[in-house]
Amino acid sequence: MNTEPKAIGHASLAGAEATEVVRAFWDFMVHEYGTRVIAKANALEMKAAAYALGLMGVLDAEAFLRDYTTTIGRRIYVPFELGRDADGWSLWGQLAVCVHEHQHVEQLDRDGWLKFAGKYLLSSAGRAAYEADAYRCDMELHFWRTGEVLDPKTLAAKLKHYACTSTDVEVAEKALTMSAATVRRGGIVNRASQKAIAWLNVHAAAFKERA
Amino acid sequence: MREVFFLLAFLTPGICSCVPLCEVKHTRCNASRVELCDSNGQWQQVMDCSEVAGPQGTAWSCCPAREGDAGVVHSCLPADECSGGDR
Repeated sequence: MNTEPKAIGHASLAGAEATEVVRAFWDFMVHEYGTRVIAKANALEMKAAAYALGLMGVLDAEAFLRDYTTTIGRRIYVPFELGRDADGWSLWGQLAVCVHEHQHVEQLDRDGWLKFAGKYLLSSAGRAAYEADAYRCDMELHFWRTGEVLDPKTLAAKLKHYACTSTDVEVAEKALTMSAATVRRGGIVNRASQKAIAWLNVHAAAFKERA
Repeated sequence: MREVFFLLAFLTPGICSCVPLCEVKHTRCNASRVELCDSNGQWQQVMDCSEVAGPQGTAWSCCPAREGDAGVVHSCLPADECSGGDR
């Protein structure tokens, strides 16, 4: 289970055209990966997970349902309506989280269920590594749009919400720092980002905000 | 005896992976792969430069790069930026 809070560092993206782009983009990624998008608020399994997380004191149940996108296997539970800029989920945030979650699907396909679930759920180091890899998507998408690189320290700090040890957060920051050197030179490492950016270049190049 | 052997064979990979092989947060190039030492002292792949996509025609290689306050880290850079120094 991978869960992702609201994105950071994303500038505004608005208008009817942007709404259509966001919906078309999700359609594209869902088709590419064979995933399903499910409204998180209506999913019984997510309500049960929220209750359990709240009971364990890991995460407030309401915040889990409202602020986090969660992926289990090929099911992506979203706390927002695709293409609707509301409840703190900007359209750009919806694009970025789509790529981030699909990178987790890439990881699942690469490592298989047993290794992926075991490492993600049972190992702080494993979870930090998977998330740092997926946060590289946020970095790559942000660079595509703005020409700027997101701060590795800020991205890695989000892992404190994933019950990762402080050492693993530092290791994740280092991994993102290593990635930043590639991203600022225009390199795109992650497969999900490569697919996303190829699509965006064709269908949404106008949304670039580079100086 | 055979049971003991099977038990050892089963446990050995786990034991080996617990022996620290590197210093936490150190980085290195391993052919085209960029690796980082995790909190268990194990080398983990961060990127494979052969899989990096970028501006047309750019070939990417693993080499050291100066990255702000973090100092020198290993990363995937355009091959012409890798001057053949410490890999």
